[in-house]
Amino acid sequence: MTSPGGRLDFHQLVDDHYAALYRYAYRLSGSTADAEDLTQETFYQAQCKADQIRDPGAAKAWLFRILRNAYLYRLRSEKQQRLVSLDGLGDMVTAIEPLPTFDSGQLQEALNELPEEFRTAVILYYFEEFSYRDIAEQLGVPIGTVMSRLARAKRFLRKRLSSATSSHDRRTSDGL
Amino acid sequence: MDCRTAQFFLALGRLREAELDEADAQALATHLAGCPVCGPQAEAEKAFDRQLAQVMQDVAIPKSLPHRLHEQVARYRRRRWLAYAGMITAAAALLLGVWLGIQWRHHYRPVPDLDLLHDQVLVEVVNPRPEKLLEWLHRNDIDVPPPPQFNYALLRHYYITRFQGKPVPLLLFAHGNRQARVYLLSDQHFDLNGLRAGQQQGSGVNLAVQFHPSDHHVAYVIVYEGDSLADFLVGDEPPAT
Ligand SMILES: [Zn+2]
Repeated sequence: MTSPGGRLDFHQLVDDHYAALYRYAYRLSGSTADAEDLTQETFYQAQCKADQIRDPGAAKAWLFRILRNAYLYRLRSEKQQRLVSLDGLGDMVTAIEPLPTFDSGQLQEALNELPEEFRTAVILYYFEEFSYRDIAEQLGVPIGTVMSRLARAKRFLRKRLSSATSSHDRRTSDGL
Repeated sequence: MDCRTAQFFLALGRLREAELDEADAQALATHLAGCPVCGPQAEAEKAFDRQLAQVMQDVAIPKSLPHRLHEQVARYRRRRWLAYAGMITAAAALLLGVWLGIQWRHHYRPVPDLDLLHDQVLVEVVNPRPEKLLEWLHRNDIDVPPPPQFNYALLRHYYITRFQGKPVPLLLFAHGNRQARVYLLSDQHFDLNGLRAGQQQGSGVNLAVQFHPSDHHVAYVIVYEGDSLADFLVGDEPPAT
């Protein structure tokens, strides 16, 4: 991943990480246009800051951090979120609920409603095989906080996706 | 392990059981295997996790994205390279300039400027009247009167020379093919008390010392060719040329 001169090979970094970064950006932003912009901006910023990193093994986490910061910067300048409160959701699983069926779009709708710090945690947890410790480093919070956020975010997603499924079923049966 | 503790661990996330320590993971597995409440619930959670992980990754990636990213990376590198090249070129040009400057200073010898020489001689020699001489002395801050007894029709040239390390005006008179050089000495620079007025005859070149008739702070040392200084003094006509 480094060139013979010891510098990062950015073409290799693109090949290795663009897909994961794009998916991450899409799940964070919920928009394909924003996801593309964020991915491009991430590699651009990484090239500008190339001297910050020497260990190619740390490049993935570094790129994810750059992407999230770029996303947060946009989020702060946009300030148009309608987010749910997770206060009502406990950390405990209370009952067995039927497994909801949902697609990528429905999942995205549910993710969009999560506050960013919960959304980021749950995205990283599910598709990029980041450990609790990795996620804690990405978010800059203790591991305990990550665990708590993950548990609550999952509870929310499960509830939200279940209700989406059932209302979809209701609409389908109403239509029949 | 009781149900409450098991539920706590379940809530933290099953996919990362490896992050529980050995003893907790073992205790949890044992409880889930035997508990009619927690066991099925854990299975349901696992299924949900798998489903969530799968759908989470179900994001179509634009086909052209990697190509555009590679282009962007290459563009950035080109720009950086050009910036470096520009800096290196500027530094090289500066060094070359300094080097050339040093070479020039070391090796510079001017081409003789004939016009300059011509003008200079012209100014000093053409029509050297006494008033022009006075003007010249004044311009050069020399407060020494020229010798009044000389015939200024014979004056050919004047300039400042160095005599015993002091700047001294020198007047050059010509009579036929003979010359008289007159050094204007002032007691500002010389102890004139040590001089005696008079003449010394030599072999072809003669010396004379005269003082200004009224100003004894000024002496004239004259080096002349020929038998008599009188040819250069007032009353003698310059030879017809
Ligand atoms: Zn139990």
